[in-house]
Amino acid sequence: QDGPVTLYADQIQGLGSGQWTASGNVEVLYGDRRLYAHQAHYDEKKDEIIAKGQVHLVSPGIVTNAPEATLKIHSNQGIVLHPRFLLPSQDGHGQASSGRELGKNHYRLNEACYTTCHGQVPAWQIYSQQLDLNQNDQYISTYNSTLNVYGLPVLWLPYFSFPLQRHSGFLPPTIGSSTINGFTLGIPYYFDIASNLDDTLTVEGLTKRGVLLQNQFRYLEPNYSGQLLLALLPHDKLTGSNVWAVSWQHQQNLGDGFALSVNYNRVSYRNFLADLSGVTGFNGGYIGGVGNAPYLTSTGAISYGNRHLQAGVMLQGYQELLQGEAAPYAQLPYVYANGYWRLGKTGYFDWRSNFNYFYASTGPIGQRLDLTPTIGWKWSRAWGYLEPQGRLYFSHYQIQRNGPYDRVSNRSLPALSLRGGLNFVRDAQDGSSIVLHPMFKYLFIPLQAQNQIPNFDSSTPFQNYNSIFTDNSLFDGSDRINAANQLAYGLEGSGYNPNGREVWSAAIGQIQYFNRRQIDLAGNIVAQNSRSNYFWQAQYAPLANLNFLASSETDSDWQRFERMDFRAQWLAHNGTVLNLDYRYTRNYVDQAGVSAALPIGKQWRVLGSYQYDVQDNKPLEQLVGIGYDGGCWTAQLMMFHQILLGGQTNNAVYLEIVLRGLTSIGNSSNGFLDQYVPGASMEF
Amino acid sequence: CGFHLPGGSTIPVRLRGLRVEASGPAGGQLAQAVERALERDGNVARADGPVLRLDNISLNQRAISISPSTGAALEFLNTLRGSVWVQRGKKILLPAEPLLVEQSFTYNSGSPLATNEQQIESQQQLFAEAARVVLRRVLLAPALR
Amino acid sequence: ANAPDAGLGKGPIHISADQLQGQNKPVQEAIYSGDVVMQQGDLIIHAAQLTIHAAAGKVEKAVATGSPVSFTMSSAERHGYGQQLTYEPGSGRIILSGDAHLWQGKNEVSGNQVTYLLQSQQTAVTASPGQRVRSVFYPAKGGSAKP
Repeated sequence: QDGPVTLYADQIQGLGSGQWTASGNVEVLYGDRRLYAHQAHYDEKKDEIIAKGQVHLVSPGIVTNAPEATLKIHSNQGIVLHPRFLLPSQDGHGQASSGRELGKNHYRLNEACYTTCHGQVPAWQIYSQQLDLNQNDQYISTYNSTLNVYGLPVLWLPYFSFPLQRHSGFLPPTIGSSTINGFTLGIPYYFDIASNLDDTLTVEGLTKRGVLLQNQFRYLEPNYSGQLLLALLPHDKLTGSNVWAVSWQHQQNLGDGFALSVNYNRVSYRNFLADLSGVTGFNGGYIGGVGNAPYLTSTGAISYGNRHLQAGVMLQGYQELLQGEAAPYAQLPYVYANGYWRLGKTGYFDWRSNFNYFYASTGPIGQRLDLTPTIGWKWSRAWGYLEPQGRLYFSHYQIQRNGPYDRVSNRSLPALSLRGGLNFVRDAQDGSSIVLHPMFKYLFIPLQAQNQIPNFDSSTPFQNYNSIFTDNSLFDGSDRINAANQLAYGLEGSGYNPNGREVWSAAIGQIQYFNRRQIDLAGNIVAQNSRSNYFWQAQYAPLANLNFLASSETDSDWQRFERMDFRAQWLAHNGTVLNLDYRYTRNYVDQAGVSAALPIGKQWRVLGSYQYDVQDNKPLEQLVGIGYDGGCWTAQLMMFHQILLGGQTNNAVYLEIVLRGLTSIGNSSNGFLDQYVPGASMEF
Repeated sequence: CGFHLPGGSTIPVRLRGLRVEASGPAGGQLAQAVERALERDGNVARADGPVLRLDNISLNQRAISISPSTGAALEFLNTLRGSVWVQRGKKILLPAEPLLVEQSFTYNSGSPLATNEQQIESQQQLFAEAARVVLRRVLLAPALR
Repeated sequence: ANAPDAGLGKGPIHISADQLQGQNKPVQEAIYSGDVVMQQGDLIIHAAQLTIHAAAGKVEKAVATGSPVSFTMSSAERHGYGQQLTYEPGSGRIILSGDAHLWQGKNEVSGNQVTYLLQSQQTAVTASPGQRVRSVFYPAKGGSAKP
């Protein structure tokens, strides 16, 4: 860049042949930089400025003070003697014996120290033989460094680099202990390969098990991105085997609406997540909580999508982590094509189709083709609506290793429904309003026994207010379609404050069965009552961030709860979090839980979580934590009791130290904390 | 007691040509559910129409109850959060208010396929209900009728 | 009128003007006024008024004023202007003062007073108190500027 060089000074001498000397209040402006000094000598031929006397250089993202500096202007090079530098956006600062600019925004400092702490004795500081500051890629890498904590050398690091962007950075060193792993100490090494590639190798010593090596490689290209996590714990003393884990997520845009995505997860030991997830970045494709993931999902899919159509081919497999369960079915392949088109002004046509090849080591193997066209139309005004809808459930099965099932079978069941509702509104003078919305849905589906059809993916979910207005409300999946000649009816209410915020809402509904025969999960025809239980739900939010939620199923003569789930959550602005949970489902779950995060003063925060099984009258999982924010560093000490897959319990202590500007919290810790104290974040 | 059936079309005149803009990891799914519901009420989105903003929509899933004997999760809870407002150009027609909708489903240890289907069905119901909660507020808001 | 051969001037000094007033006593002095052009070699000065101080037939000092007075020296790619210009052929010195600007090619220096030495091509620029000198350099491609 050959922009002009503008020089201000009290006086300037031109020495001829392009040599100029400026003295007194010298200010030099070139490109995006500003240089101040007592005196500056500018040589046009060598395109060089030699500045002396309280040199102050302001470059993008870095401010440097030094007694002397020699700068090559347009080739962005230069030497600064005894620089003291500040990175404003990271609040990082330090000094060095000398500094050189290698290229645009790329500096090398010798015998440098760096910290984000202030005060005479910084909480932490790095002394490095050589410190490379690359602002283009936003990272610092240091060679032959020692980490000092309150002036005491704590760690010698031959090579050690860390990113500069906020909230990114490599996982902090972790210290902890647990009944399963013993004392643990983890040192991560972050390699910034390029601005879009980075790798973090964490070496974790576990006294009771050995050394866990975990490597997380991340890549980001214009058309594809992803991360590959490999973990290996050779000769694990606990299991006497080599414990390993793989987790690979990859997304790729193939252009013209096509996309490829891979989410592969495999562990060699079922409690890998529970034992080690506190320390690993493993977030695997499991659904649900950290250590209580019942199985790992792996999928590979090529999909196509546009405004109307979504289609694709997917391979989906499972690794069951809970011993003693039926071998899970894999769907290899699963082909789907779904479409949605608008018909006229308020009509619609919805098309769902999929083909599945179900494979498992035991039980029937089979292919299933599902076609589910739906056509509907809605007539609506502000005061109410009517929505007739016609749907066809068509399924074709071909079964090998057929067991009790037919080799080939078809099932096609029409579903005709009419849905409607009224909107009663009451507006108060202050602008608040209440809406009462009675609604109904009549549904007809002929009864058909389905015990000749295997069950690959159907189950009987617990019902709630919303599900009673769906067509196949008794079953999820596609292998069972419930019969219906029923009228579902419900009353919804919602109240809004003058600002239009929904302060409360409530709903209660029930189904009146005119067909007294139904099918069960096995597909046999069974009797059915005349009325379903009552399903009701309610939500009350006196404040925008304080919510009470309840959902329940009560038997039809209001004698007994089938289900009663209650939840309260308060997320205050100052970081205070309060959660209250009660889950009750007859013969299934009866648990209560409370969790909280309370900031104390400006620097302390306490965490707590207590889950209790009311039925078995025994505690489940608990957590107690305390955190301190020292400005340029934070420490979180957490003690928790968890139940591992298989019922074994584990007590663990986990200390995480974050040196702000050097390290940052990994997302695994956030996922971990979200399980115990939902709403709280590690970065407080 | 003051309850009445409001007249006029489902889409208030001031919201004619309403279009939906969403952000956040789960914004796309909620936007589709809301757009389709609006279409069924006769809405034709216009580029210059008012905008229904679904901001920072995120879906979080966590185990909410675990088996004391096997340690496996028994129920999962899906929580959809975000913030919703309506604006025309710079003018705010309906101020931003938080959205919180939840739905739980059970882990069926018998078959992960069944649990996967329950998860898909539960999330579909969650987005459908969220769309109803959003439109119930927006289409019947006294300020816009 | 032709002034006698000046020192460095490299050749005779030619001056043209509307009027001329000359005097020998007490000191040799000539005052030209009205569209004055003074030329010596490739140094050309344009001014509203020019006063020549001479001694023993040699031009000691030429003081030009104008709003502004300007000069050009094409061989050294130099030109400049100011409220007053003082030229001392003997020492080969040009002093521009009063909002003085001097260019060398595209490079420009400006301040309260600019002193330019023809022999050594040196320049000295000073500012009036409280003010600062300003100079702008346009390095040519490759960063090497002509002397």
